[in-house]
Amino acid sequence: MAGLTIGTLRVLEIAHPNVMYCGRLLAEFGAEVVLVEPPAGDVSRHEMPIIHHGPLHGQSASAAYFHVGKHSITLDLRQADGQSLFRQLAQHADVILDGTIPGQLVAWQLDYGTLQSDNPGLIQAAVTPFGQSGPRSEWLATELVNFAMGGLMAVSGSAAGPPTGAPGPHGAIIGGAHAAFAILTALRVKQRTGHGQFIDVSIQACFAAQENLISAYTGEGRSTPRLGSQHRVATPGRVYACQDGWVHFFVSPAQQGAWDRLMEWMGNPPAFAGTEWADARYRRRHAEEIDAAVSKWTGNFTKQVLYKEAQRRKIPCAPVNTLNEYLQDEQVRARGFVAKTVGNPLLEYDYLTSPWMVDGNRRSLAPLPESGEYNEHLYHETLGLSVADLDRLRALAVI
Amino acid sequence: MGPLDDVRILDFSHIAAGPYGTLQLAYFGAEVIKVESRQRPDGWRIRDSASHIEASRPFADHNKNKLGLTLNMKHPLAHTIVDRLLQVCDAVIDNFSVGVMDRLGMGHEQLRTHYPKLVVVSVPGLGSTGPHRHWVTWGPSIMPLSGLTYLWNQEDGPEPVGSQTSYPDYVVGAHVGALVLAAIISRDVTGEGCWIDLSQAEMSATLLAPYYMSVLHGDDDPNPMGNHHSAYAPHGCYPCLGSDRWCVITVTSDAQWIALCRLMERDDWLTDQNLRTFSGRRDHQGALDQQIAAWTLTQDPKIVMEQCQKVGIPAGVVATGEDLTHDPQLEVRKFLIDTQHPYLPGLVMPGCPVDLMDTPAQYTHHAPLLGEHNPDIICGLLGYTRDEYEVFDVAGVFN
Repeated sequence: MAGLTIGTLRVLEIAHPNVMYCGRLLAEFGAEVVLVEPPAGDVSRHEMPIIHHGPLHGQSASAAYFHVGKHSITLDLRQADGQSLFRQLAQHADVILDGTIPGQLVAWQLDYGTLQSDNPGLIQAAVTPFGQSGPRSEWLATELVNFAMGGLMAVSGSAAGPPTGAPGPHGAIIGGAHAAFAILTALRVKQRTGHGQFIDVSIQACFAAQENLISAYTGEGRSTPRLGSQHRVATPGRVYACQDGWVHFFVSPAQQGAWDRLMEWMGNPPAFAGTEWADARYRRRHAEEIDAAVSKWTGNFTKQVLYKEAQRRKIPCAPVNTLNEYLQDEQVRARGFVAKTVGNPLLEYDYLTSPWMVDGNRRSLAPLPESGEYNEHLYHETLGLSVADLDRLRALAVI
Repeated sequence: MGPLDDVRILDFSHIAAGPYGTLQLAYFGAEVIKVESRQRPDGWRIRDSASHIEASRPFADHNKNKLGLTLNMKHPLAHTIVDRLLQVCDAVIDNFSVGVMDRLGMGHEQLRTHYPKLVVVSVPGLGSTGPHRHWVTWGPSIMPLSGLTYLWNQEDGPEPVGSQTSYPDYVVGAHVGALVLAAIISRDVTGEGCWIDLSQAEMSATLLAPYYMSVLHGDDDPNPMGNHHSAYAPHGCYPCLGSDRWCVITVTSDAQWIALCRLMERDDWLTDQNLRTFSGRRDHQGALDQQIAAWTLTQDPKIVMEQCQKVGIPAGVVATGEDLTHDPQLEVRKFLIDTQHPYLPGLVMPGCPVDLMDTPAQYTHHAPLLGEHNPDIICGLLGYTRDEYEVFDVAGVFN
């Protein structure tokens, strides 16, 4: 089996960054995911970074990743004809994905109550920065705002410098993963009752549930500090400069043997010979002395030499890889994390597959769909619109 | 009772990644049997901040609603019990190092052969296959390996700053919930269980997917951008009134730029042609950042946030644990719950980040005390007699 098969499940994804990852996950699970784009194409197709070489020249790297395995229809949801057409499509769908600001679908008369009245089994998931209700539900957010308001930014960055946002679309990914889980839970309910339901995912809550951020405060009255790459308790437990960049050592209190093995590798420096250094808490209090000695020593080697030798000695160590370096990593290559899209001989390109395998295999997905490539299928075959109807809707720029 | 009350999971996972995944299932009524041993309890029970093995906040947070079983896996009778459990479970999960489950006689191949309907989930650091599968990794080492740490830095930072977050633990956990359900639904369709092997390093790299796609297609390695953005400016984190207080402000359109100029009463910026467009503002963003910081420095971060949001600029406080605990938006969602934990009286913790309107998440039971549910599981679920239970107990099976 090439992957999971959750049965015949049609998903309409109203194109929006908040749900682009959820849609891809459902495609990985075997659903028929249809991206619903405006007639001029979704803005995600112009999202940075833009690819400058090869078969995807001029295309968005983001769209090329998030929209693999999906179909695409065009539909202008701002026009009444477009809204009416969407209501018809929703009768033939199992799941609607929506990332728009709360209230938007009500304005388009595409709210859950309206859509479900014609399709009781419909499941609708809204993924938004702050959820559907509450004083801030209509506030605007970007990835940086999500990361800040969710509490993770306060613990990211150096103690002396500003809080530092994470690179990458973390909110879309964590919100999308939680939404996919919620959709599958609702699907289990529907299998028993025949009824779908509405799902409200708050990206802020997805972040705030992590990292003991809340319980550190409610339990001890303190907020978790920002310490750069330095771990709370592990010493060595940070990045150390080496010949060609940095490596990261992580000798936690749970691994006394790793400290002994590191000292042996470093030639048993007399400065750390005393028995007090065996105590992880003592080491943490004297991190500056340890860090000075370790970085002086790591400066003699390259990342790869340190990584390989540390692993031979069973010491948790990793190179601070650039992206190219990670892609060249033996393990990444051996496991086939990068693969080629399938199913369209005219457009075939390398992409990141799912980070999991099912019985040793990864699902192969089709490339980023052309805008509207599924119009014929859904409007003509599913809804039964005539060629003349389609021409009229095209002329009105509804599709 | 809940929507997943027909799902039963045998959970050998510990610390964060696996437990956060099974927690999602437990919120909706899945019966999660958490297996520990008295010699080697979950590592988060014995974190340095916990005064007592039953009084660990992180453990109490990540294991809500679960049942606790202690088994000494070195005892042959423990294997008999596990065999009986696997016959009545839908899924089994571990996040041990590769090979540990094999040594316990529960490698994925053995499990798949003996229990063909079982869903087997492994979440090792680097995946269960490939030349580095046995290499030692912890959450903090996976971030640097996957490229995340390298990019998590200020543009001119002396070294990567990274984060106090245990990425990718929570991202992995959110996916585990979805994957287990997808695999169970898939099993109901095909009649076959499966083995899911998720690499935490690949999951971590997925957070950078757009950048990876760009590099895969021939672009140079990206450089750290700190809080700046490739398509928006100004876009940063600004110091506010108070100790270590900050607010992020992200201007994503020219209209928002005009709104910010008016808010800051900067008529000179409004009329400056150089600042009309993104590229002009990007070229001057160092100077803009300085002046925005001078404006925010005398104001409470929440006031800055509210003023910006009021005029349609995405902005947010860099929320601390204290801010999250009193967040009005999370309050409306009833996100925080009083855990009523016998060893942590009054402790408030985050709840489930997703709302299913008809079948909401429920908090039914505090995280299990060590072996709290041994009799319920051994006698109640598996049907052993009280006498047989005593025999197991005297033989040390529950140690």
